[in-house]
Amino acid sequence: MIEYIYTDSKHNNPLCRVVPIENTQSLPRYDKEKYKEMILDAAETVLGLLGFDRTAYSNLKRNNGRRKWRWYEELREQRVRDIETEMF
Amino acid sequence: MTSCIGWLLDVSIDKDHANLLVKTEDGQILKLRDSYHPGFYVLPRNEVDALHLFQILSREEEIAVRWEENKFTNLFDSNEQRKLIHVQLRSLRYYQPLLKRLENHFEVNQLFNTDLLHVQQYLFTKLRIEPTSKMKVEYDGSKMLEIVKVDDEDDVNSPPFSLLYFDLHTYSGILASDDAIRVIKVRYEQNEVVFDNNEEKIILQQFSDYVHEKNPDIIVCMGDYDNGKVLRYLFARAEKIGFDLQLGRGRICISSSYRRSTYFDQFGFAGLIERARFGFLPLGMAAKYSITRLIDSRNCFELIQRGFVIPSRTHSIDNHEHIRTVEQIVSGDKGGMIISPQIGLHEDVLALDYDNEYANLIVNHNLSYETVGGEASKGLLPSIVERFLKRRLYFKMLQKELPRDSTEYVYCEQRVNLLKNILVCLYGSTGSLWNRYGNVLAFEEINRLSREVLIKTKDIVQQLGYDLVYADTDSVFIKTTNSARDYNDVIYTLSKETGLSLSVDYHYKFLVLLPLEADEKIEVLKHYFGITFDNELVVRGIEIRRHDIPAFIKRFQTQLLYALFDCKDSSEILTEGYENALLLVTQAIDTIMTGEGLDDKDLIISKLLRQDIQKYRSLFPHVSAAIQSRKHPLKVT
Repeated sequence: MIEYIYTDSKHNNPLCRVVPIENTQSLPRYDKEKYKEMILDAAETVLGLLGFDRTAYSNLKRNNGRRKWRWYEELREQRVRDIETEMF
Repeated sequence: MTSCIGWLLDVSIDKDHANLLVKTEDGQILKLRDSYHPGFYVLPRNEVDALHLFQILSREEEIAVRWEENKFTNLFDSNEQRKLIHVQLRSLRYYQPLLKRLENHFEVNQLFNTDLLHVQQYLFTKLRIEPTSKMKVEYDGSKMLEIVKVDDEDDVNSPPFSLLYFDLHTYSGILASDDAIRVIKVRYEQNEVVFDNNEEKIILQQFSDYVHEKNPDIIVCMGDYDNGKVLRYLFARAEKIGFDLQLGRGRICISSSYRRSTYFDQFGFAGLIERARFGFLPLGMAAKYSITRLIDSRNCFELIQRGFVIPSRTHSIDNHEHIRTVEQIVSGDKGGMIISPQIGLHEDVLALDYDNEYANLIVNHNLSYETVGGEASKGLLPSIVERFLKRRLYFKMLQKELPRDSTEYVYCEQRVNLLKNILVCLYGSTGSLWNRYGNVLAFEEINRLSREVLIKTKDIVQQLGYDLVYADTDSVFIKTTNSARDYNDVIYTLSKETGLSLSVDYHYKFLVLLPLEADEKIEVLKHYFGITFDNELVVRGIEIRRHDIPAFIKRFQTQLLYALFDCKDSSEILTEGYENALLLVTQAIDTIMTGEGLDDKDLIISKLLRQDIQKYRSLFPHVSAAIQSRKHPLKVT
């Protein structure tokens, strides 16, 4: 079992996106935007059928209120970042 | 001659004897010996060969042979009784050579009972008492004279076997004989001890002394390695550094994994006891055996008691699949039935479950490997299922009477869960290739009957004026628009017409059946949330249920659901409830952005590493975290 928090989910280096939580360690700075997205995901699951629009709370571009292709966009962005890191 | 009452802790075969470990009522361990002569059955090619073979085998000093009439050799043909040669050896050491000789002998058609382990042969044919059972034993010195089972079937408590847990850590984190032991952590009852020293010999000495002092019956190896590997490492390491490691008398050794993947982790100690008794196997084996092997063991035991002999797996494989046309396979090879959910918000919904539907269908319709297609006498599968179904119902009823914080309640729950697992797998393995007696037709017939039940259920529900909003295999969600009606009539009618008992799973005040996340027009199974009239939230397939979601998000979603459902009717949910929920979303975002009122643990995500870090090909967040962690350092090889 591994415990971690997001510190910078958009960092180029995957190893810098999260920090493991060890027993003795205090909580490091967390990635507010990432956790905000998690809140919106949870809210969308419950309220989506009632017309909940996450874009009203999010900085993300409007995507018709659906998460349909977000995973793909995130994956693509991450891939681009990884390639950039490799090139650097 | 002495006698005592105790529990059968372990059975093993050693040379020409069976060794029994008995834990007596006064906490002592008795080591007893019983004679054991391994044996098997031979089906000769024809009568002439039979006489010749019998003569040859009779001449050998170490073998006792006799004719056995009326032995059933084929489960699928109960009229087929054969005359077999029963070969019994005086000693275990002649067993394998003789078996090899006969396997290739031109006069031998087939051998039986050769797949069984010696301990199974002893338990099935001589002792006939399930390991871990309570019994009265008479003995003279170490020689066992007589043993009689004492009925403890209804006792919810586990036998009084003592357990010692130990967790071994090396400097490198892996178990290779070159790696030294860094620390051994031990837990016995409520006490935890850590043996930590720069000198490995001292750690081993302290551990050995502790085991001798506490004298446990069962040693539980914690960690991600199998107990066999841990013990092999421990003794190899001790030998390497010149330490004579002694762990005392014969103890059972079982595994407990950090990933909670062993049967002991999943079902607890009482569950393990149930496994041993069901499989008719010693505890150590029951802790390791896969469910198909466990079921096979039970099947073999039951059949031997009925006068059958057990064919080897290679001879049984023909039963599994039958030659059929593609059309027959397509029409028959279907699983349970699902009626798609009606997406949206529903009011006053009753979720009904058929109690142990598949097990009851097997018993009610006498569905077994050998009975599908017309056999009238009671089949093997229904007789096993019936016994363990009754046992599960007994513990389920008992559990309701027990206080939730009692040890008995926990044991009861473990037994109920394990028995459910067995009953489900008894059905699930009916068509399995790994099942010695597996028959796809039996599996398909059970599924067909369950589909029939669901279709009948749908018809009855609709005839009575209710709406069926969702149904999945053995559970149905029904609702009525007439609030004056109660649901008792539909429950009564369904039970009467199907011959199966139903119970109310939940009575929802509000229920939301969700669409597929990727497309709101497509309904999705097992994704819903609702609140009962008792104000209990019931959720399936959403964030609250996931393990890798931070506590803060789970708490937020729970509050969101309560806020949404805190309404009189669905129209109020769409207005007032929705507004209250939106307010909560804003508050939760504020909390995250400011960090006020957030606890350290609120944002932590927990995830299991399901394999060694080296095996991951992508740097998923939890893998990245594990690489950075001191607990799972990346090993350079």
